[in-house]
Amino acid sequence: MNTYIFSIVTFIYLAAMVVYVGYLAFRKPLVARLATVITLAGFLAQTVAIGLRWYESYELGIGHAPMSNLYESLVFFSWTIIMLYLYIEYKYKLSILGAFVTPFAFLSMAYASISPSVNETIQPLVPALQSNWLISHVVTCFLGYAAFAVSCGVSFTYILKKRYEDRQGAGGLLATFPTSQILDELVYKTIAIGFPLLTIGIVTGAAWANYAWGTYWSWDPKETWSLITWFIYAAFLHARITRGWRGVKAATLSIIGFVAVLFTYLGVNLLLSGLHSYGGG
Amino acid sequence: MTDKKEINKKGSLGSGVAAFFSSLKLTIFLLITLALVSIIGTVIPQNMLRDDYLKVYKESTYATLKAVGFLDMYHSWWFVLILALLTINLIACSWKHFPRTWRFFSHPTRLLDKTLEKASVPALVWRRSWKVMPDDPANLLPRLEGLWSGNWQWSKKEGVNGSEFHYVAEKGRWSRLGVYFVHLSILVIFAGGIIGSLFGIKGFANIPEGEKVTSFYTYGDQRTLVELGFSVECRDFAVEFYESGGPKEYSSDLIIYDNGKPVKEKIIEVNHPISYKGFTFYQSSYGSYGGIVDLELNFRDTGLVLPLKLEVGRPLRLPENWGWIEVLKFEENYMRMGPSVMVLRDPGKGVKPYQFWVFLRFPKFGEENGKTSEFCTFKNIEQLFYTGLQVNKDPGVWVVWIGCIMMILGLYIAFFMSHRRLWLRLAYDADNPKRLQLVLVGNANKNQPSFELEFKEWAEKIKTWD
Repeated sequence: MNTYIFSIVTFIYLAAMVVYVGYLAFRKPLVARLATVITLAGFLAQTVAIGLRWYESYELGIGHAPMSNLYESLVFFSWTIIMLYLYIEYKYKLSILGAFVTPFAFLSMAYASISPSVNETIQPLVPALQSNWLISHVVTCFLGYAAFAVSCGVSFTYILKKRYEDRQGAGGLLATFPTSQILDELVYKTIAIGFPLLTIGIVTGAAWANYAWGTYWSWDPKETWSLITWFIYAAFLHARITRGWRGVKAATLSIIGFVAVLFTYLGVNLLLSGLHSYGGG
Repeated sequence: MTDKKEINKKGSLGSGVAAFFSSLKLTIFLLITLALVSIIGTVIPQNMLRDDYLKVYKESTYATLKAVGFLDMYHSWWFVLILALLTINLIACSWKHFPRTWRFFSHPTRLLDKTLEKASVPALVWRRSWKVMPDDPANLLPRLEGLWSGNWQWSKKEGVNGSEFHYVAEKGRWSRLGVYFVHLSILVIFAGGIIGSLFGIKGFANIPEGEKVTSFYTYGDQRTLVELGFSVECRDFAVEFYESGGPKEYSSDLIIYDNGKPVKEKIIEVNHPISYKGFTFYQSSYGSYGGIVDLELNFRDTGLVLPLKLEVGRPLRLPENWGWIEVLKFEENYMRMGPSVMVLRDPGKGVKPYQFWVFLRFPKFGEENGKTSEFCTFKNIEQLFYTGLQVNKDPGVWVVWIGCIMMILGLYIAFFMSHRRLWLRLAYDADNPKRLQLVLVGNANKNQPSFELEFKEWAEKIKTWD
C-alpha cells in the first residue's frame, strides 16, 4: 500500500517540478501558488505513506522506523528536501527556487520507485541497526543532506544570476531572479543549517559506532566520505569570508559539496564496500 | 564567521611566517587538500593483509603503495602532517583574530560619533528631528527603552559634549565567541584522539561457551597479550535468525569475576556492550568450534548398529577389536549438502585407515555408497559456539565526546546567534537650539537582512512620536 502511494507521490513531485519551471517561464503568481499547492499535496501524501509504512512494519512483526534500506532512505531524503524547501519558500517567499529544488526530490523518488536494484519491500533489521541511535543518526544526516540539496539548487541559481549581473544583462528570464546578494545569503543560510546537522549526524554516527563496535572512528569509506563532505563545506564557510574566494568560487564549492554528499549517500554504497552495507540494498 | 571587514584588513603581523600560518587561504587550501587526499583511502582498501593485496595488485605496485603510505594513509606521516598544519593554522588564525573580538568585550563602542555613523550600512542608519522639542529629551528614554525590551542590554551616557545624549543597546555579544568555541572543540577532539592512540587498547577475545578468559590479544601486526586483571566467563551464547535466514540477534551471557567473585552479569548483544574497569566488551562475532556428534556405525555382515557420541577432533577407541574412529571436522554446508562431518576410520586388523564424509540430510548416503564392510550414519550434532568479543579500552573517548558537544554548541552559537547593536544619539541642532535631532544606527554581525526589517519597524515607531 505504502509503495503505491509513494509511486503516486513521484508523479506529484514531477508535476510540481513542471509547474515550478512553468512559473520560472511565465512568472504568474497563480502558477506559483499552484506549484506550491501541488508540492504540499505530494508532501502530505508522502508523510501519510511514511507513517503507513512504519505501521505496516509493525503489522509484519518486524517494526522499525522506515529508514533502514536504500528505498526507505531515498523516500526520506526527498521528504526532507520538500519539507525544508516548503519552509524556505514560506519564509522567504522565493517560489522561483522550486524549479531548482523539486527536481532533487523527484529524482530521488523516481530512483527509489523505478530502479530494479532498489528493493522496496520492508525488511527486518540486521543486529547492528537495532538501536535507538538509528533514528537520531539518520534524521540528522538526512536533514543535513536536504539542506545541502537546497543550497546546491540555490548555488546554481546564484551563478546564473551573478554572471547575468556581471555582464550587466537586462530583461529576459534572469532579470526576474532574486538578486545575487539575496541568493548568496541563501546559499550561506542553507549551509549554515546543513553544516551543524551534518556535524551532529557524524557525531551520532560516531557515538553509535562506539557503542556497537567499540570504536568511534574507523576510517570506513562512509565515515571518510562524510568527513570529506564536512571538509568541503568547512572550506566553503571559510571561503565566504576570504577575499578572492567569495561569490562564484564559494558557490562552486557548495555545488562540489553536494556532489560529495551524493557520493557519501549513494556512491559509497554502490561503488565502495564497508560497514554501511545495509544502505545499498 | 567573524566580521567580514575585520578579516579583510591586511594584518600587519610581524613575520611572514606568522602571516602565512594565520591566513584563511591556507585554511581553505588545507581543507580542500584534506578532502582530496582522503579519497585515496576510500578507493584503496586500508590495512589489509599482504596476501590479500597481492590478489589485486602486482608485487611492485604493492611495494610502491606501501612505501608512500597509501595502505594505511590516515596514519601516514603526510596525512598527520596536514592535520598538524591545520591545527597550527587554526590556532594561529584564532590567535590573530581573537584580540579584535575581545575588543567588543573590553572596549565596546559606547558613543555614536560621526565616524561610526558614516561607516555604517546605509540601511541601518536612520534620522529624524523634532522641530520644537516640547520638553527634556531625557523623557524620550522610557519610550525608547520600551521599544527594546527583552534581552537588550541598555546603557546611556548623558551630557556628552555638553548637550548630547547617547544610548547604546546590545544583544548576543558573547555569540562572537562561538567560532572560537568551534575551533577549540576541534583541538579537544584531536586531543581525545591522541590520548586514545597513546593509551588505548583494542583487541579481541573468543570465549567458548562455559569458559573463562583473563586476557585478550590486541589487533595489529604484533599481537600482544593483555591481562585484564579480572576474568570474563561466557555462560551461554545464542543466535537467532529471521525466517529469511538473516541473523536477527546474537547474544552472549557474560559474567565478570573479580577476585574470584562474580561482580557483574549481562546478556550482551550487538549495540549493548558491557563495561568493567575501563574495558568494554562488544558482541562482534561468533563461531562454532566443533560439537558433539551422534554417529551410528553399522556393520554390514552382522547388522550390528553401534551408536556413538563423538567430540569433534577427539579420537575414540571402540570396544572389542573394532579399531578407532574420529570426527575430523564439521561443516555447516559442505558441497551444498547441508551439515556434514568428515570421519576418520581406522578399523585395525591390517586395514588401511580411510576418511569419508557423511551428511545429516542424507542418512542413506553411507549405506549406498560405502564399499567397505561397514558404514556410518550421521544422526545429530550439538554444536559448540564461542562468542567473539571486541575488547576496548579508550581513555580518550570522553574527551572526544566533550569536544563533539562543544562543537555542536559552538556551531549553533556561531550560525544562529548574532551580535546586534544599536546606537542612538539625541542632540540639539547647533544652529537651532530648539531643534532636536535623533540618529539611530544599527549593526548586526550576522543575519543582517532580518535585522534590517526589525530596524525598520523601530524607525517607523519612532517616526510617529511627537
